[in-house]
Amino acid sequence: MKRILVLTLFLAAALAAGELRLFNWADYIPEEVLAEFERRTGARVVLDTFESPEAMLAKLAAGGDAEYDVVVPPDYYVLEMARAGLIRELDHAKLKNLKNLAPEFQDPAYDPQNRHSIPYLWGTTGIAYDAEAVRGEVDSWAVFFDPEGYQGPCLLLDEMRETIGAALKYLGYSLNDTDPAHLEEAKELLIGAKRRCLGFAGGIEARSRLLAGDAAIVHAYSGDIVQIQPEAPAVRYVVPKEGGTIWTDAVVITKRAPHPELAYRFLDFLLEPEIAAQIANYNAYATPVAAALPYLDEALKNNPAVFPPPEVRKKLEYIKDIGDAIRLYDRVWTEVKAR
Amino acid sequence: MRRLLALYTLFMLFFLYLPIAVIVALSFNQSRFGVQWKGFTLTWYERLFSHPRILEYAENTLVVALVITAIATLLGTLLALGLYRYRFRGRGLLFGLLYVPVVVPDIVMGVALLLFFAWLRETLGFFRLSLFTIILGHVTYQLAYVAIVVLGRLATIEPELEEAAADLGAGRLATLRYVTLPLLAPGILAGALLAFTLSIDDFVITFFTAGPGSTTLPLYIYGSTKRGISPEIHAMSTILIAVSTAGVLLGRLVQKRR
Repeated sequence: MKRILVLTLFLAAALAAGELRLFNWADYIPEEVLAEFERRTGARVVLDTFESPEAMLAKLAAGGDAEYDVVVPPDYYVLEMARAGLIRELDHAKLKNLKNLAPEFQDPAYDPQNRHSIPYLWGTTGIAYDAEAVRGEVDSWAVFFDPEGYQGPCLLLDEMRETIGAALKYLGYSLNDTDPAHLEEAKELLIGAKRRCLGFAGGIEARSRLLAGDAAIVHAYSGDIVQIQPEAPAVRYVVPKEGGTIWTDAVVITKRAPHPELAYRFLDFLLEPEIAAQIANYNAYATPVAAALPYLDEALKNNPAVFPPPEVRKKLEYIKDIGDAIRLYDRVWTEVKAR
Repeated sequence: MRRLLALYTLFMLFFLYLPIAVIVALSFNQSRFGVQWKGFTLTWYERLFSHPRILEYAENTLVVALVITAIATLLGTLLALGLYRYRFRGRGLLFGLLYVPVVVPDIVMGVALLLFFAWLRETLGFFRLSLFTIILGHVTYQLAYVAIVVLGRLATIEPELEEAAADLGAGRLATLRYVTLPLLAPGILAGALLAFTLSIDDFVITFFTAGPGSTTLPLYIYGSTKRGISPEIHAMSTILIAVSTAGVLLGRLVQKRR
């Protein structure tokens, strides 16, 4: 038995040289892509997964930044991680595929000029519904927030910023509004919606309940819904006319990465058109790599739920780090949950 | 009354086994997203076996569980023997301490271990979180479980047996080898099985003590819940259920033979 232990330690040490340590959401990168990278570089990819950005940040702050090479955080964490000194400024000379990015991702708001990150995938948050189970047209947040607009059993996302954000959007404010009076209005709307709807659920749970026919309208992430459309053609996804959230998952290299050169190769690899397309096809989210478009599945390429048309794009907003005002959100959220 | 009891039993079985049955069914479902039955397939099993990462997590889980079981069983048995046989200073205290890891909530244990390992890392400079720290963390509390189970068995062994062995000229080691250990064997086995089952599906302590490259299946499955559990995981779970069921059945068979 001891021999196994010694062997394990020994193997871990021996392999440490040629491996890329990746920290990502579970089931977010296709196995084929990792295998291709391993084949090209001869390095091994060690993939560890996290279930929430908070857990990821905690692990990195506890010394994980010297253990992992590449991490996939949500957009609003990039600058925070940079400020905390957890990630490095990228040397663009080592990323020759950066030019493959669509123009709007060359200089994203969450990380100007991609100084610390490259985009991985992007998507929106909006409304998914079963076209056969709703009474009328679904195109507004009113299905949740207006008693007159009620169209059938509904479910809100159990995500503080997304859900309060949806109410703010319905009221015509910004997702990142920090005016206490506006938040108070949003709170009242959410309490009403909670009474009429079935409550709150995580993205996947909400989707399952929509598929099972338990809910007719759910607050949802675009990719989760597009992914299942081939199996459930009656399910539609729409960005409400008041606007919704746009988000991007980014890829960063840790400041103390044990294998920085391999990490750069991996980032550049992710920006290759065919690889980016493979990742997008697998997850049914939109790719920021413009050059990847020709390789996308037909179901994705011309799908407005994946690539919203320009007039919808204009109404999308990023969730931003709002500093201490997050306490106002926390309070509103607690009161909504408690009622 | 009997009717009621039968109904209650039925409900119990239903709630216990239905979720497991659902997992098994989903592992054969053509749909990647569950919920609806789209037909029978073995694709997920094929994909599982061509998915080196998930297999690696399974391997991590097994290695950790086996190593922990071995160490915790050895140390736990020795601890129980020492506590039972000998009178020494601090014995009472040690007895009390034995129950601490059992009653302390896992989460407190996990955080404490994480802080301790972080402190070691700061002071020694090389203490990485890895499979090794997971093993250290688990052994720490599982040897207490083993010791308690073995102590229970020790209490049922009549001291006359060992005294008789000594009378007949057996030394301490011979007595241990030919009298005490064979009598203790069921207790040791039970302790080992307890340690194995506790460590193979432990989440909380593993979560805090795991480092890069030491993801175990419970960690991965938990990570998947947010993005939807893939059918490959259901396939893996089904295999685990099958193996453990087979293990239990085999155990029963061996017991019957005796």
